[in-house]
Amino acid sequence: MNRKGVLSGLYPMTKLTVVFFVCLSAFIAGDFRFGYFVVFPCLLILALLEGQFVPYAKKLVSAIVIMFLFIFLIKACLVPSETVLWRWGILKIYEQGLADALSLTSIILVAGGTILLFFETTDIEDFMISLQKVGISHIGSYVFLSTLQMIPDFIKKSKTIMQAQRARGIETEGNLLVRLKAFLPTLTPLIISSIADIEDKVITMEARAFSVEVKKTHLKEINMASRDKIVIGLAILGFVLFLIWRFIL
Amino acid sequence: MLKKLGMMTTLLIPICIAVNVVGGYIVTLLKLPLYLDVIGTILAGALTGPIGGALVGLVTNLITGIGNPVLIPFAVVNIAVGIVAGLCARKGWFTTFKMTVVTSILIWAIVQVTAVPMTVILFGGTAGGGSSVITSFFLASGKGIWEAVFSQSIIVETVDKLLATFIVYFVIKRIPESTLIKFNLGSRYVEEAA
Repeated sequence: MNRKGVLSGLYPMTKLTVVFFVCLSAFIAGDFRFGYFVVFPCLLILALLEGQFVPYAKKLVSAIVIMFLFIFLIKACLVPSETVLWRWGILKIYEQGLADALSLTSIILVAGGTILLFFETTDIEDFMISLQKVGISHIGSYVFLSTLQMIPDFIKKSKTIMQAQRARGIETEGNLLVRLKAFLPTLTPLIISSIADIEDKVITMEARAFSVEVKKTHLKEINMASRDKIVIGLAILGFVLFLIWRFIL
Repeated sequence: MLKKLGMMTTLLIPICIAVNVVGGYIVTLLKLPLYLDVIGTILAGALTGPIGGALVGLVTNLITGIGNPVLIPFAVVNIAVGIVAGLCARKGWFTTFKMTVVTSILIWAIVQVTAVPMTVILFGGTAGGGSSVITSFFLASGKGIWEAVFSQSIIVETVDKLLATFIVYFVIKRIPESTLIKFNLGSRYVEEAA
């Protein structure tokens, strides 16, 4: 990743620490305004500074908007509680339900928004290297990274297989049952051909000493800089101040 | 943990995760009103046992969670599916049609037991998506939140999870024996055929 934004330049674990503290604060805050009016604008500003605003906002909207609409509909309108806040025809908004919906959505907004921004500004490879440094097995990061490579590959292959099956007469359009029957002939060749490849991959990887118990080296080196320590320090300080404000003042 | 499973299982995991994702993709290509997004999890459970199945379930939701963090908590459901599929496979239940029926019902049951409380407690009754319309309908007709989400889940998940289990049953039948035998639980399927 060549972008030199503030967030992209930070060490992945630093960002993860901050994400953790922000999410924890949202749980403790017990006030929807913290999520909606403090954290959310900050996330948008950070995404804007990073030059990632449009993709970030798109992903966030597609992840949560419909869900939030339903949460409000269900909590505030459909589950009855004592006080009716507002009434229009058959539509009623309950006070307790609205408050519940606001606090729930604000927590989801904070957790979802921060995690999404984390992945939006972190190179997955860097993240895996930093995970290995804290002791996660290199096999785990192999699984994760190769899956990410495999998914687009599989999608391409499944299209090819579907065309091939159509060429030999399998219907992929028509009523529900006909389309359902086309599922198995598309998926099975995909699974079987990739499973048959496993053995070759095992031999290739063992030839490069994949499962040998030694300290692994990386092609790419990433390290914690002094600014990472400052950011973590600020995050902890901020969290302590937040706790003092919440419970003592 | 991964080291004990062996390389064949380690390399099966990415494939099964991709199958989970691609299953959902093929469903949209064919415009089917289903999810079929746990096929890989069940397959991993069936070929390698509960640990493999659980790992596939976990990593699937972590990876889909990169684009939509709301999905991350639902990893619990996917892990549970993998464990149940793996335990059933250890007993050899994927080898006959009759026992696959039992397995599919168990998998369906574990989805209900894990997904419904998760949806109600964590997300107040909805995780977004079209099926929430059904939940809203039940609520509007005067049912309680638990009843409504449970009814919605039974309507949406039943055909989906039963079908996913049977797809795995048919896929395993088509995998060549020479490949099957190399997986931890593979010998169970080969003996059946011999």
